[in-house]
Amino acid sequence: MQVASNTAYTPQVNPALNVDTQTRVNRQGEQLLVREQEQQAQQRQQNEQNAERFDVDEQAIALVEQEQQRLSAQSRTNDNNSFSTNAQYDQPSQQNQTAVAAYQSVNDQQQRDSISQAFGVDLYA
Amino acid sequence: MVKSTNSSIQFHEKYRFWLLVITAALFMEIPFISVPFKWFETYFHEISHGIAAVVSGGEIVSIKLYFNGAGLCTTRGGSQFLTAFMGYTGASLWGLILYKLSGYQKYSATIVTIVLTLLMAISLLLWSRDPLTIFIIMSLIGILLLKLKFSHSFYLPWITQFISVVVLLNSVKSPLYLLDGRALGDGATLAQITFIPEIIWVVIWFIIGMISLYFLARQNKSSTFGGSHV
Repeated sequence: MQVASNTAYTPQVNPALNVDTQTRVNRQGEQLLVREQEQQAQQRQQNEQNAERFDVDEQAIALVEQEQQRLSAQSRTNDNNSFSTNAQYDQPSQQNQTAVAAYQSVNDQQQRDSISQAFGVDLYA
Repeated sequence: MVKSTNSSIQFHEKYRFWLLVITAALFMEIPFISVPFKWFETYFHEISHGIAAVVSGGEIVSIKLYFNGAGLCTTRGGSQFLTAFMGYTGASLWGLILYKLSGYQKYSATIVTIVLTLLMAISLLLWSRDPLTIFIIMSLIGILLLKLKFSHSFYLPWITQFISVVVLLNSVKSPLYLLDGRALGDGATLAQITFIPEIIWVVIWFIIGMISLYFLARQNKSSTFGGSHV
């Protein structure tokens, strides 16, 4: 009695079944391929998205930097303006103000004297 | 309980003058409400000019008071020096005299209030020419009449003395407004007459006001520690 060990140990499969199995295997392989492709596609998409996000972040950082530069430039301008405000170039000095007040008071005093002389009265404030 | 009430009264009596000074100083910083009390000082300032003119042989033509606390007294004849000098000095003296006369007794406070009301009524009839001055003097009379209406109140001497201290503090403060470099006002008039700089007159008026305050403070101290009240 010959015992084919291969046969004995090889699973006996129906050829039809074998084809089926092969087909199944092929299908599974295709499915796996499709899945891999899908995964790769998803990964690519994700990578692209990440890249886009990074781009956006870079743009945002660039925008922030621009804004900061603009603000610092503006503050520098404001500082210059405040300096000019503090300097008050167009306002007369204290000495000049006193001179103007003195001039006006002379005018008031003259008016007062003229009233006093005209009516013969004295005015006391 | 009785002991704590007595100690509270003693505290009020002891520091009466300084309580009034602090209250008046704070009160003068309140806008609008303090304005009528500022009119008192202005009125006393102007009436002092007028009385000085009358005393030195002149006459009062008119008294004008402004809403912001300014005033103008027009006189004819009399001593120019005395009339100009007595504005700020008179305000300080009025504050001092009013405080002393109002004293702690209700009776003397009532008499002082009646005399003041009469003086203001005379000023209203004889020397007030414009509606604003008439309104201001009538308001002052109104305040005094309110005081008389509540003459039986325990607070009448306090109110009278409060007004006196307001007048006194204003009379100390007001001359300082002349230091504006404009050479206007009583100081400038005296400087013209005497050739003594305006600032000297401002310092003199300030000192007179401070001496009046010091005098009242000393009197308050002596009356609290064994002296007698006015």
